[in-house]
Parts: sequence; C-alpha cells; structure tokens
Amino acid sequence: MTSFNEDQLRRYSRHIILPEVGGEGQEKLLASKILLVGMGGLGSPAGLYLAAAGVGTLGLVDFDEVELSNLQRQILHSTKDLGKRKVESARETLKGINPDVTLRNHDEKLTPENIMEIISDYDLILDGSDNFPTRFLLNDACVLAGKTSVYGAVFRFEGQMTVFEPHQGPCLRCFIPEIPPPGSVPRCQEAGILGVLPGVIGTLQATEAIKIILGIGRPLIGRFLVFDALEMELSEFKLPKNPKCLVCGEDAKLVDLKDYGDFCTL
Amino acid sequence: MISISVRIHHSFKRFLPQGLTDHPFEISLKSGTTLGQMLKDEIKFPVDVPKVILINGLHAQEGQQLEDGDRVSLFAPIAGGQFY
Repeated sequence: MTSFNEDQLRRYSRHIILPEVGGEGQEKLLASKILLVGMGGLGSPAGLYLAAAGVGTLGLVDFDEVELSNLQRQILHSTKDLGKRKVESARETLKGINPDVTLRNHDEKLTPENIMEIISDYDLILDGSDNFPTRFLLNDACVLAGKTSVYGAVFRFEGQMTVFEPHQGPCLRCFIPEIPPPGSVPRCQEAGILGVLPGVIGTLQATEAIKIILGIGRPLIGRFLVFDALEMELSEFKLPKNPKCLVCGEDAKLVDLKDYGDFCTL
Repeated sequence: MISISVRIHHSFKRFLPQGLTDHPFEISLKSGTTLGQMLKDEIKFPVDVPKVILINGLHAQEGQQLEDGDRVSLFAPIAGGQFY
C-alpha cells in the first residue's frame, strides 16, 4: 500500500473521505495511466479534471498548435500559449494543476503504424479527437488491443457520449459501420460550436474514466447519451453489441489497421 | 398495420414531420414497409443527409423491413471540429 504524504492527504482528502473511493481508490487513480487523444475542446476539461483527481500518468496526443479560434472552448490553453504546440501548452497547464501527475507528450498524428504502440501502455483511452478517420482508427485499435475507450463528440449545440468496452459492449462500428464519406458532414469551423458544450461532454468523459478506474457505479457501456444544450435535454438509448460488426462481431474480419483516409488533424 | 416508435435526436429535429414538435412519436404503417420507405414516404427525411439509423439500438439498413413495435432512432454522425 502506498503511503500518502501530508500534501497528498490534504490534496485528495475529499476523495479519500468518500466511501466509494477511499485511500484504496485514490491509490488506484495514482497508479492509473490514461491516454487523452486530442488536446482540444474535449481533452481540455477532461485533462484538467483527471490531473486534479490524481491520475498518475496522462498521455497527451495532439500534433497541432494553439490558435486564437481555439481559445473560445479549449480551456487548457491561454492567450500566452498562441503558436505553441498544444501538447506543450497542455503539459504546462496540467503540471501547474497537480505536480503528482506524470505527463507524456505524444506530439504526433495517430496512424495505423504507431497507434498500437502508443495505446499499449495505457489502462484507458479518452477519445477527444475531432474527425472520423482518427475515431475509427482509435476504435479499431482499442478493440484489437482490448482497451476501454471513453467516446465523446460535439457539434453546434449537440454532444454525444458513450463507453466502448471491447467484448463486453458495442464499439463505434456496431452503429456506424463505415467512416462517413468525406464532405458528407459539415465541420465545426463551418457550422460553429457552443464553447461550453465540450466542457459538458469532456467532463462527463472524465467522470466515466474515473469510475472505470475505480470500478464503481454503472459505466456507460451499451448506452449512448445525446445532450441537447438548446433544450437542456439529456437522452439515452441502449446500444447493443452488433453481432454483424466488422470489428467486434462474431465473424469480425478486421485483423490489421490499414486505410482510414486522410487525417487532416487529430 | 404495424406501429413504429420514432426518435429523432437534436440536430435532426428540424426534420420532424409537419405538425410534430417533439419525439418519440408513433407512426402506423402497412405491414411489409421498409425503413427506407418510412423515411422517404412518411417522415420525408432528406435522402442526402448523412444519418445514423438504429432499429432497437442496432445499426439498420434502409432495405430492412420494419416489424410491429420497432423503435427507430435517427441521429447525426458527429466527430467534432474537423471532419475532413
């Protein structure tokens, strides 16, 4: 059993006094490793809360720079960070929140060639990416590697969230079998996004990640949340595993990661 | 006749059939109606709008025949800031 130092006892005291967490749960968090894919709108609140919670190791994936148009919602980054690599800016912010956390930068695109190695050392993946090719690549890699991923997506006033637990619940391809064709769906930069919306969804993702690490509560496996900010409505529907799924179904054919189209960003 | 429950989620609410403002709504159809026929003839959902369609939570094809009591959900495939 790890012994907490005095600062840690005070820092995590509000967790430790929760019977569902306790000292044992806090130790689990400190020993856990979570990979954050995307240091943008979703990765920002998720990263802040996971660092504050004392998740021992956070992997930070992004290969972009901080731009002015990011700052309306990507709260890991500040005006002083304009032009910096996002992983660097995120690392500085997260280190300031909690020096207990080990931060690993992955300043690179996720590709079929590197993804299995990158995800291999993490207990859980938090998908805060912003395009379908990356989401499908991440989904397929997580199924192949048996990694749990916490999925979140945002657009305009709508957010979606679920947890993919390989072999226990569905994966992304169970309900969207193929990557939607390029140009078939609009981009945030064309249609906009309410700045606070990824804050809501990214925080829900962090909540699920912490629950899964602690092994408490009922994770959002096989359930899909849709958040409507305009109506302030959170609806849920069941998402069973699809036996015909190409990746996790009974006759799954995917054995290798190959063609995912163009990756313009994370 | 068969009865189908339809849920149209947030960004698709603008495609709710005329006179409806919320979901889920029930729709009565002739036996043998396919999902595609319901979308085109009854709901008049635009063909060219990318959508995720589930029947009872499972991914569905438009040629799939609907059964009495089926729950059809429609929502937008969203990925985030940069689609392509």
